[in-house]
Amino acid sequence: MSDNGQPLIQITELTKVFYTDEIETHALSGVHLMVNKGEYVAMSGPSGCGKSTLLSIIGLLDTPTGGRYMLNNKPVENLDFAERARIRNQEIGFIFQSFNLIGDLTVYENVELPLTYRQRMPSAERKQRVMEALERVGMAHRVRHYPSQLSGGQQQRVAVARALAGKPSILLADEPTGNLDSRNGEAVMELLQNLHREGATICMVTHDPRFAKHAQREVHLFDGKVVAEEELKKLMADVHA
Amino acid sequence: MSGVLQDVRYGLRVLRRQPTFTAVAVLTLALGIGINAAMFSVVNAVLLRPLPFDDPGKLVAVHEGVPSLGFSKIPFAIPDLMLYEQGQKSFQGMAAYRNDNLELSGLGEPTRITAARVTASLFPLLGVQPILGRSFHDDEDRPGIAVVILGYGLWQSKYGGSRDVIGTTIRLDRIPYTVIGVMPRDFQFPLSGASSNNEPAQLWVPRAFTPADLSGWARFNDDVVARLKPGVTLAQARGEAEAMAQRILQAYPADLLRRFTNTKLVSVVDPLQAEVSGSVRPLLLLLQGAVGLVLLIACTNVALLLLSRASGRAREMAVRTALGAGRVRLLTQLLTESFLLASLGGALGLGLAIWFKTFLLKQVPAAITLPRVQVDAGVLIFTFSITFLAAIFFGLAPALHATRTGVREGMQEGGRSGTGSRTRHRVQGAFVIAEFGLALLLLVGAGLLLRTFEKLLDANPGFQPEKVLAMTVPLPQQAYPQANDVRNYYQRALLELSQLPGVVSVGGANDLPLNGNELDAVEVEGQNKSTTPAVRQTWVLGDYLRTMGIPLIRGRLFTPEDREGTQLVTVVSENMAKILWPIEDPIGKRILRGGADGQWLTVIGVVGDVPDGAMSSAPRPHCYSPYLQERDAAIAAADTLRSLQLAVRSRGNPDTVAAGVIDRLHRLDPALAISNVRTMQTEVNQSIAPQRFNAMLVGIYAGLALILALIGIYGVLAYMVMQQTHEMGIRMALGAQRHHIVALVVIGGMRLVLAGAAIGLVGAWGVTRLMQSLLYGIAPGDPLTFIVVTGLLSGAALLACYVPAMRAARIDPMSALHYE
Ligand SMILES: Nc1ncnc2c1ncn2[C@@H]1O[C@H](COP(=O)(O)OP(=O)(O)O)[C@@H](O)[C@H]1O
Ligand SMILES: [Mg+2]
Repeated sequence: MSDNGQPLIQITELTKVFYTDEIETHALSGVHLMVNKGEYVAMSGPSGCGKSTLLSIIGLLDTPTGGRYMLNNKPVENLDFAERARIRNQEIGFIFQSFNLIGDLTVYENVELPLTYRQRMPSAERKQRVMEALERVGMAHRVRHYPSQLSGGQQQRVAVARALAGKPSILLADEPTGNLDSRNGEAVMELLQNLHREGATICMVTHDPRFAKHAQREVHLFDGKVVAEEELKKLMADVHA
Repeated sequence: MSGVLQDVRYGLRVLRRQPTFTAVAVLTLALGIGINAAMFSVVNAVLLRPLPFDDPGKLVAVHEGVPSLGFSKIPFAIPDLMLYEQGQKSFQGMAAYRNDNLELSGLGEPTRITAARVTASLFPLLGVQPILGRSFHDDEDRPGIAVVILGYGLWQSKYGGSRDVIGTTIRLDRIPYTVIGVMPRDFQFPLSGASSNNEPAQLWVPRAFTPADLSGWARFNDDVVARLKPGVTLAQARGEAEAMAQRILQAYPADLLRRFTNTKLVSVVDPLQAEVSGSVRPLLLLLQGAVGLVLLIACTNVALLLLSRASGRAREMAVRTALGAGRVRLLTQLLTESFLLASLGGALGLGLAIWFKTFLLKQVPAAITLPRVQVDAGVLIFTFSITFLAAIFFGLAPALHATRTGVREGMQEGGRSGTGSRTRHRVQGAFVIAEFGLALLLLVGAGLLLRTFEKLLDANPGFQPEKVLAMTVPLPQQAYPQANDVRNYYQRALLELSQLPGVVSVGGANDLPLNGNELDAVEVEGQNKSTTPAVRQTWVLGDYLRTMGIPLIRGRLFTPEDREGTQLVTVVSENMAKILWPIEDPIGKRILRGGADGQWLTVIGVVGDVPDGAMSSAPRPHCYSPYLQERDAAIAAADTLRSLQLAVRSRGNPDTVAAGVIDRLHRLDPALAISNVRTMQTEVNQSIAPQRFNAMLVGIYAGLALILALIGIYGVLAYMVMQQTHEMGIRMALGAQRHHIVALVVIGGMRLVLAGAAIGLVGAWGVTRLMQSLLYGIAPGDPLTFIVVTGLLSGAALLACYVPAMRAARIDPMSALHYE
């Protein structure tokens, strides 16, 4: 963790416009964001303000309409599909609100999945990584189960293991507790916090202020822009007025 | 009842609401049902429909046979028939008949027509009346009485169907005959498909046994039908036949009996129906089996469509269940929809059947004459039945599956990635595997038949058919009464033809390659007589062997000096030489041909083997003799010896000399009805036409099967990809490259395809054994065919999998993740 503090994500003037049925939706309009290695950042803001869009662009699932995005000091906004897939596979671990485990695969196979998309990893190493990840989230005893045989909290822990298995530079979690009851939600948040303590870089979207407090730093989004907390409160008040 | 009506009405609405699904399903079914109905109309006409005679189940064909000489079933010799008739108690009556080829003159151009000489007992025995006039009286069945019954076709074409025809005379082989009757339009006799005397006649004359016939021991020429007495079984008649054969053999003249010391004469009784359909039976059953498989595949495809749809209707089923519908009720409703689909497919299929039947009949080679093929009640019942069965086959599994989903799961519509989709995929997978298994089976069958045809095309016929023109030149008894008249005409004809420009050589023979007609028993000097097989006997005139391009292997060919009064000589085929003289030099050896009044012949040459039947059959031992050394009595009497085939080898295209040849022959006798002018290449082509037909039909069926199977796997994968869009999105988010996604889909599909292929290969290994009799030059388990066909199927399937796989790879991960 010697390079902690080094910039991992540098986003400047990022814009994203969706064109649907001749309607332009400006989901992001000029976002600046820096995330350093080892940081735990929470993103919050009202529904529709662009959190998921920003996270997708950070995760290279989507491409920005304009602006600059440097990941690990490399520009990544104009890569082709194959390059982006490679970076997603090696640098990024996704945790989704709806878990997104594959129903026809066992717990083990789900966690193994990102590793199978890598160039020749010896099977012994692969197995070790999968088991390490599952042990880390406390799900090693369920390797042969199918997702439908697990509770929501257990499924999300498997999803976290899957994100960890590839040893990514950053974990991206989009409302990871959104589909969980509070007890399970807290368990998952605790897991993320422990991971952060062990050095993981995490970028999490949440609108639950309690969970946002877990993070080192909170970023507020409003209408496609990053705003300061006080400003956000003022803006919210205006909206409600 | 009103429930059913309600289901029907609702079902129709469902089908109307999904026009693409309905159209694809109905067309698929129509295709499957249509070709089955068409094929069945042929099977029905040939194998199943009772013969159009009175109480046809009681009619039998009676044959003789000398199994140890390779004759399992041959026509009767008249003296044998006389003995049989006197001794038997099983039959109400027996009738004899033989085909004949007569020159019809006096009604425009002289023509050759196919006739049958029948005993007066035949028409009453069959129970068929003429539509005009009467049938033969018993006392007309004597030599010298010239009466004729016309076939409907001839009556229409030559007399325009005039009723005044009765009592008029026509000239047959230049003898005037009185017309006494006209047979009904559908009457066909002799029946095509029988093993001998099987050409439906255009007219019938009395068989009128001559004294020569009555003492014609071992001249096996007449076929016999008989009618079982009421209460007598086939087994009883067969038992009696054995006794009759014994009795006949005991009555044989001493010198003939001498040749039967170690051999057995048998009598064979078969149902007439089996006799006439026996030869095409394996082929027709194969073809019907093939189209049956195509229908199975078609049904499988519809089942796959319904399965895919089932998931979309899970909510509907759940709502209905919640409203209190029982499972049986839901099943009834879904099956009603299946029956509606099948009925639409069946109706359209019937239309298709009528068209396809016509196409099918056009492709049937000339060598196979079929009875009238029509879409009759039997075909309708068959079509109805397969439609019903199809509906159950393709409807049941999807209906069971659709109605199994619980209420809660269904209402949640999809819910979590549930177990429901996994079993559905398993059912779909099983269907796809089955499809490819069946398709491979058909493809292997088609492949083997195609290779058979290819081998026949490449096969060396043993002679050189190119540039050879042949024609039948029959000389009527009336105009050429004496053997010398016959010999003189042919010799002069050959001389004339040899002088034509463009002609290389000419010859004549009583039969041609691929069409042997005389079989003789021979004995070899100093060898055990019972072991010699029956041999083909061909009488040749002029430069026949060289004209046909049959190669000389040892010794010499005939010369003009091999004529009456010189040493009797013969040229034998290579296989005959090998059989009779495995180690010795055959040249100079002697054989006795013709038994009782037989002659000793000296072998002067050995020539190459030539097929005497179909190209696909092994050539029999063959023995050639100079026509000019045959005895007068034989030439004057035997039809085949006064009806020679003349062959002309030309320098260029044989068709260009045809007109000149016919002109020269007519200059010698303007009234001659020269028939059957054709090139030998045409004969060869016709000889392999049945194999071409087999290969083409099974090829078409296999092609359809493959296309349907490809549509099946494509449909299943396209549907699965659509279902798994979200999963693909997840995989891409985790870093899957496009090629990972393509591989995922293609491997998933190809696993099913290859599993099907493996099962199909095992099945084909077993089933193709049944095709043995239809193959030539290739084993039923031919590895190359199996490999090539499997490769073809896999390659095509790979393409079919690739298209949906590419679609999956182009999924945008972002929208796929949003799509739930
Ligand atoms: N694929 C898309 N096409 C069109 N509009 C989109 C798409 N994705 C998001 N949007 C729009 O962009 C805006 C931001 O959405 P999102 O990032 O999902 O918000 P959040 O996650 O903060 O609730 C919303 O107005 C949304 O409707
Ligand atoms: Mg969101």
